[in-house]
Amino acid sequence: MGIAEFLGKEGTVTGVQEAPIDVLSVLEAVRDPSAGAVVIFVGTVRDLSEGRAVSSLEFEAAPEMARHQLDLLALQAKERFQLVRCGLVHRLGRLEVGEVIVVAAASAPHRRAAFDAVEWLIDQLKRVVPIWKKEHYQEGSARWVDPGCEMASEEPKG
Amino acid sequence: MTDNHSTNFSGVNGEIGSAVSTAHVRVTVRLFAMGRELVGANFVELAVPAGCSLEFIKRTLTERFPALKPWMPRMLFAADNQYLGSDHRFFADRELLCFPPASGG
Repeated sequence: MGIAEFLGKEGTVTGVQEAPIDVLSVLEAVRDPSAGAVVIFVGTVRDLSEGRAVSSLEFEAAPEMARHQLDLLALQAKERFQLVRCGLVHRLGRLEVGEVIVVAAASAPHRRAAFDAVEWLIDQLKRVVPIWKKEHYQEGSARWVDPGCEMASEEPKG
Repeated sequence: MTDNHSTNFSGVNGEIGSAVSTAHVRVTVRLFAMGRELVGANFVELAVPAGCSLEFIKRTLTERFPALKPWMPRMLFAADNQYLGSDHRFFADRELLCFPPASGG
């Protein structure tokens, strides 16, 4: 399904999906004649994490609650930053280095609001949307990322 | 359930809530990410006293699955798409989500 097809009535595009995110279709979905500024953030899989070579990231969600929280964030951002449209889409499953993890997009009459909104959206997503990532390292082990906690469940991989 | 408040005070030893404690509700706890892997199941079902708190459910989970113990203080619980506080109480069968802090993005 093309992302533009699920542009919500409120002018928001949100979701979690196993399929690769089509960044340009999110961009198109948030564009509007009344918006002179469109800002888009694209989060991708980095090849290093705290000095360790990463081979892939695995994302898991509580899908229903994640969709609900993404919707809520998009609506809150629209209100808070007076956006025209807003997009927030997260990928799930196993992603290789360089693949797109998340896209946050905002359109507004002027650029300041769009910049601020995108930063807020991605910060909030990391805090409240029930999605988790597991880092798979090139040497074969894997670990769930736990922000703010040193304890880690390291598991050897065969 | 709680529709028999008047009998709550007549329990053995005059224990408040003893009538309630005889009724149980079934709580289905869905597990995600590390919690799911530590328990080795997508969900667990608990029979708990009606009216018990989320704190009680956390203790029950830790007793049944000691592997969760180091993580339990940081685990988050949600139902109906809302995060729950430790004082949330359960009066009817309910489905709960249990998961570690978000690490998406």
